[in-house]
Amino acid sequence: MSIVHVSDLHREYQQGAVTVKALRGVDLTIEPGEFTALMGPSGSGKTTLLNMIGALDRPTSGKLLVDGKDLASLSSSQLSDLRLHRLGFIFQSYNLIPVLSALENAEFVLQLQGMARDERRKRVRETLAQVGLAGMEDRRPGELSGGQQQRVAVARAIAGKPALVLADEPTANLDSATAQGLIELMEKLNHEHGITFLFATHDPRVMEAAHRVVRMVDGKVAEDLRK
Amino acid sequence: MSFLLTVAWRNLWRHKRRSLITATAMAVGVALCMATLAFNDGMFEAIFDVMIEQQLGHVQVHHPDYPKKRVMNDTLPAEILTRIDGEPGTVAAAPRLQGFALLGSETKSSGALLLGVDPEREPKVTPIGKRVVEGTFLPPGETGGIVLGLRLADELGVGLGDSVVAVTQASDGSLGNALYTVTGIVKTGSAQIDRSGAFVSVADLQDLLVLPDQLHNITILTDDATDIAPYAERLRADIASDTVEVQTWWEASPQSAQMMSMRDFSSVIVLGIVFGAAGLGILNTMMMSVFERTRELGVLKALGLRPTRMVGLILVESVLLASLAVSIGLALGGGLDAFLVLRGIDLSASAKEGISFSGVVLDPVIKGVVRWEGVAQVVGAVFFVSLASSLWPAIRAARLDPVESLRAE
Amino acid sequence: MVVLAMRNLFRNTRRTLITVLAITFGLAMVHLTITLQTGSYADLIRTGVSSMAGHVVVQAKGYQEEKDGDLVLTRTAEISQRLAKAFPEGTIAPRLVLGGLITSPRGSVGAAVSGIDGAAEAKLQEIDEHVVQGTWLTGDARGIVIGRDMADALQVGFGDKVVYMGQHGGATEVSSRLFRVIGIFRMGNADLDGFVAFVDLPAAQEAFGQPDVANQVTVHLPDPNRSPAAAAEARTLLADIDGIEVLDWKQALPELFALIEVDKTSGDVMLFLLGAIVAMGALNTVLMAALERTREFGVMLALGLRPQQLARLILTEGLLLGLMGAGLGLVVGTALSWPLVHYGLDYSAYMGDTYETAGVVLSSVIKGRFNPLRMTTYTIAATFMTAAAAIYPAVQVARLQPVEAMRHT
Repeated sequence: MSIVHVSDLHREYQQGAVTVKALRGVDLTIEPGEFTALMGPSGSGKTTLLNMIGALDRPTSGKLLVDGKDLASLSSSQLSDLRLHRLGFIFQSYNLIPVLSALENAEFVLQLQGMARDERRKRVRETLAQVGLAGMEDRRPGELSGGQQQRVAVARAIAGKPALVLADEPTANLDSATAQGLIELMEKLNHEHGITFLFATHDPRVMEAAHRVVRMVDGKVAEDLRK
Repeated sequence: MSFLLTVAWRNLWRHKRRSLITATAMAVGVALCMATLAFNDGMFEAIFDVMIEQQLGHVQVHHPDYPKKRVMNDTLPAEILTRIDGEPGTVAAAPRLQGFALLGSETKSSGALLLGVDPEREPKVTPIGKRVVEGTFLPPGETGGIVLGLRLADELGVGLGDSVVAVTQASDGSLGNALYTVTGIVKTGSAQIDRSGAFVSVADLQDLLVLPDQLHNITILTDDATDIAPYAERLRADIASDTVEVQTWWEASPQSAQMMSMRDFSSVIVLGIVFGAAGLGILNTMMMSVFERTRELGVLKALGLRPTRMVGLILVESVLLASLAVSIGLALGGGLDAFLVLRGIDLSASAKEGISFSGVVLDPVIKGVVRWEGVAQVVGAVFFVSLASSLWPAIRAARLDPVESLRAE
Repeated sequence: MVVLAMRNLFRNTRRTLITVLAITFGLAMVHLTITLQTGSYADLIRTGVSSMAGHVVVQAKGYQEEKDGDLVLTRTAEISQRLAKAFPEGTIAPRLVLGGLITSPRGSVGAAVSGIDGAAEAKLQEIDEHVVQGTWLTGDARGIVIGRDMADALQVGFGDKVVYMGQHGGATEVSSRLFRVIGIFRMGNADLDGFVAFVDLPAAQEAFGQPDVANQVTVHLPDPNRSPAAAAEARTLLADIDGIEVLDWKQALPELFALIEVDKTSGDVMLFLLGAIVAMGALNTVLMAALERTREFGVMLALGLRPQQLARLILTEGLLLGLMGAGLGLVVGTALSWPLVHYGLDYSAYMGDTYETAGVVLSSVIKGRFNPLRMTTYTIAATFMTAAAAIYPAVQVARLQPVEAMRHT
């Protein structure tokens, strides 16, 4: 079964008197284990599409199935639960909770999921080790570099074993070497653990690493390339 | 939950100054309320001591017309006392007879209210025994003794061991008189009794007034002060008649009951004013706290924090802030209360004799009384106000649109 | 500067409004309290002075200390005449209070019998207006006016006879005097209605057994503030009469003025703390408003603005906040006080029609009175307290280092 199934998706915004058509009939299907990059110029609708799939925003029309569920039929609490249990997020600006340590930032998703403390701790330590942050568990975001913060964000996104990780320009704030390291990390996670990734990005290095590149123009899918 | 608690606690310390200022403002409010309540309660306790404990007990039995008209012949037969003693729930019952007389020493006289009491039973029902400032209360089993109100003794110019003559019109219309020896002097706090009250044994007064085996009133203490009505109901069924009325203290003296509700009313006013002001402070703090974290809260939401839990997060934060305020406030207020209870406010310089209010003479050193209900009310008010004023910010936080808030600065 | 400060305040309209609202609320409560206090003090002093003392009180030496009814002035008529001449604008009221027993064929009551000048007291007190049956004192030497409850206890009505018995002025025998009830009053206070009676002064003097005596001769002036000066005048005027003391109102009623002083002081403490709570709220707002603009201030400093100028900007913001809050508070407080001044606050549900404090019987409907001086003082004080709350943030801002400030997020 596909993780994401989108058909004829439309999203319109009211901006003052003007109606902005951000998505104009997108069709897209993502299968488990894929490592997909969503490319396209600014305003092409990448982030909007990502927000739709992330259950952060609702479409104006069209069909949107995530993890087999029709999002239109879910309440806002059910959407919260879907995000909590089935989706992982990585943001351009890390967005860690500043008052929590690296460990706690990655941990709290599990905590919200209701996992028992010991199991949770074990899983988070393993995950932080996977992303290369062993030994930095107790540092607060302010005490970590940008790359390290983004690795914490990756750990947070994958710790809950989501069906799909959505990443919006994850490398945009990082220097080139750090960005390369992060991409390799995510590739490894995809390869070794079968985690499904969907990126919205401008970064050619991400495109290079991706197995599938979906190019968007003017709110529509213009090209869908599988390598 | 522990996650909410951790995040909430650490968030408070992110703006140490702001949280501390807000908590301090609340704490000052707590201390202020506690001190005001202790002072008020000190005065009210003194009033209740006189109005209720000394005079009314839990349940009153009398001739239905007696309280209103005070006619000497509206009496109860003394044997009712035995029946009250036998009633389950009776702890003690004290009979009383009263009448006005002219009390005279060698050179002076004064109109007095003679209170005929049972020297053995009376101290079990009312704290009168503890109000003796000189000598002793009427010795049980003896007759011929008299205990005078402090100011009455002054006015008559008599002391312990002196004799006083009582002259009055007896129930049969004759002019009766009797000689008593002063055994004690009491200071009750009741303006009327201190100025004109004199206790004699009920047997002596029955002789003087020619009312053999008659009583005007029986005051009863029951075994459950918090639930008097059922006892009164049972007693009423057993002994009430056309000439015998049973009343709870609040029925007998609606004024005392009103006084009690006035105490509660004035507490509410104080709490309302103080926490109205402090609540707006909390509202502002929590608003700032929510608005400056729009993005962060958006992330939490995107990661799957349910709206109800978001409300929980903000409320937990404000409860923590309130707890902080309460602990500082209890410390401050406890200090003030201790001062009020132990030292009190001393007005003796300007009002030697004390200050009277509603017929009760308050001691010139007004001491506070701490009621745990009062403290609980204050603490409750802090939490209530904190929760109420963070509800709006909390709902705002829960309604945040994750896409919008992620875009915030 | 003011415009800039104003714009800054309204960058975060909601926060500023909540703070202004807190100040407004706090200050409105202050105004309400002041109005109520001023009204009840005025009432207390007016009633207390007219019923229990006067602006000038002449009495037998030692009476103030001992309150012994046998200590009397012996040249009452002469003293009254001389005072009347010296204070033509005043009312002269001599008083002789007898403590004794009033009996009827069916009962007796210990009573305080006031021998007074009926016409003079009618001007000073309102008792004559509370006569519910018969008339007020008419100069009839056998007439007595008693309270409703006393009439019930004695089972007498209008026109019935009662006997007063008492022993006064060092007499060795109890004397008695017959009176006829010419009026019955009802004040709604148990003490007054049950235990006080009024007769004409000459009748009281006869019962006392000596002519021309009185406990006090009191002078009541239209301008109460003249009391100390008038007392001094009277002292000189009566210097040739031995064995008297002349007091002004505060000396005559120390207890009453002490009560007011205490109430005022505790009220002031409470109002001050309320102000502190509100000021802390303002401190938080100004502090946060300053801290979140750190970067902006860095830029301004870099552009050449002097630190003092920044500090002044913050202070101006605090002052504006205070002005808005205090101004609105004055308006809201006055509006809320209006009904209190015109209709009064009705406590009768709690205390009956009247209540007693410091010996003075007052109406349970407490009327407020505006006190422009205190209201203005508090308004100005609140404004400056808020401005003072801005000092700390202002100092913080003045200490900013431009480079660090600009790095601040």
